[in-house]
Amino acid sequence: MKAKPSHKISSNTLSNPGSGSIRKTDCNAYLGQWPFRETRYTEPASLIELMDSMHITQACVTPVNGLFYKDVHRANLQLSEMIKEYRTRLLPFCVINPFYPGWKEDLQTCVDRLGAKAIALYPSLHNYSLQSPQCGELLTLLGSMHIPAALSERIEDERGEHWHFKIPNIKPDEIIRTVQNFPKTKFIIRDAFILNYEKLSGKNWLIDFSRTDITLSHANMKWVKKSIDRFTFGTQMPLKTPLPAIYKIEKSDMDAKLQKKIFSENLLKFLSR
Amino acid sequence: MHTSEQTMIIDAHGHLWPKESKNYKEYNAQQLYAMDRLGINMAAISVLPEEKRCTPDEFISCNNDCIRYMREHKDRILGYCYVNPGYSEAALREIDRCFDAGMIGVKLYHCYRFDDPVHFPLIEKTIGLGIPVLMHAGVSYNTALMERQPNIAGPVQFLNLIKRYPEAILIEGHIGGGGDWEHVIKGLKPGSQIYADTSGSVVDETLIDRSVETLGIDRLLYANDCSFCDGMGKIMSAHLSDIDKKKIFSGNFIDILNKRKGGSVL
Repeated sequence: MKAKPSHKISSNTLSNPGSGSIRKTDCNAYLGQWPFRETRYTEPASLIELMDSMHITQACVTPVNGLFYKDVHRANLQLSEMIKEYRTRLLPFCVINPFYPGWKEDLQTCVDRLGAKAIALYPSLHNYSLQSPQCGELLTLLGSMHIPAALSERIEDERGEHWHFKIPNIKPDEIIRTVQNFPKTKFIIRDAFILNYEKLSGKNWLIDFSRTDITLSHANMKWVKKSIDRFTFGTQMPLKTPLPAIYKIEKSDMDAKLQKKIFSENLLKFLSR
Repeated sequence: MHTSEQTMIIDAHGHLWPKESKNYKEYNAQQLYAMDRLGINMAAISVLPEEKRCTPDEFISCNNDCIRYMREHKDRILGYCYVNPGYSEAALREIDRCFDAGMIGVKLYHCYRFDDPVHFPLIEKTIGLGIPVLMHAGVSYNTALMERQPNIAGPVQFLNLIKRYPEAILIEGHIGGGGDWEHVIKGLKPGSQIYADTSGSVVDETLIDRSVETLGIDRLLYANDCSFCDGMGKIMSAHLSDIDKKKIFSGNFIDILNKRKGGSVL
């Protein structure tokens, strides 16, 4: 090389993954083996090792089996058993399918006995509509119980989907309509493009920031800062490596006060009953 | 891994926007801003027309913008020449012109299948100049996606081409650009001269480690293709030594740049 370029680049940008100075609570983690490719950190102890390496304090974990079992509640019971020694680090997000027999009893068990912090719904995977009366009944019930509903706009990148097993995304408009139709229910919107939700008003929702790169325009960043209470941190670990989601907050021009809100404060406030 | 004076980071697959596009100034400023925030020293970029099967006038205009950006940001921006291979003579002239202006490679889109003979004169030209060809690529089983990109390059086309031109320097674009990256890395494995860039928004936890395991550390090039935090985060969190990360971050790409006839532009 002839010459070394001179730049005004950040001096500590490659300091090791994430800063430990800000508490981080991940709203979108999984436990279990993803069926379509090799997955590491599938058990609680190893997931916590991954979290420690990234300075992630706590993670809300959804059981992968809860997406693929027909009787999803069996996965909730497995999850509860798996994380019983790790309750301070791993917060259970149980899965409910409102079209499956016994779901109300299962929901009660999730909340009363398993300590579910939120209920994850997978309408496209479990073949129902968010607009269906059954789903409406579940969402109303969650509102009365002060338990958030977790929705994933996207579960798997459609470009990488399996030949025969396709998981359709939920359309942002459908999520927006649902959030608006159930103002007393709290929603955590995961793996979504935040800019599709600019028109969403109210305070009954949070959206994870993981698909928002630091190339956001000034106008959009202005909106983010103005709506800072609506954003949260999600990684989809261990299916995805969590560091990119950390960088998207840490390397943005948001100050520490705003970063704290996204990394943890907003979610913890939202999860408190 | 910590930044040191010696750690050079070069994004091997980037873009800036043509001056005729709306808001190009802001888009381009965002790219440079992200480079600053993530400590990326340089980016090898191309400027692409909206319609990739464009006329020579259109690709010349894009390349003129690229040359301007290279001059405006002399120590930050390296340029790839973009051409539509369908205009063979004009494309060959343009590659020479861009090379003379200091560009470091050729960027191609899937206007044609990569192993289509229409590419042969271009590949021969790049061999003569000692520069790489970066090809938009991917493998997906999503029917709608593949219908939109029927000629998209996959490992088979790369292998066909490298068999015909073993001296060529080929880079398979964005193994993290969406699609079955496991298919891509396993498919590319026999083509020991073919590089793969790591860009794209896909950050599957095992992507980088598996790519290193399958292709070897010397064939991977760090890149973002505008997904900056995804591009950086997946390399930084991979289970690699600092020495291996440095190879991906710039060492392997510098080796490519050093093959340029007349010497590296660095």
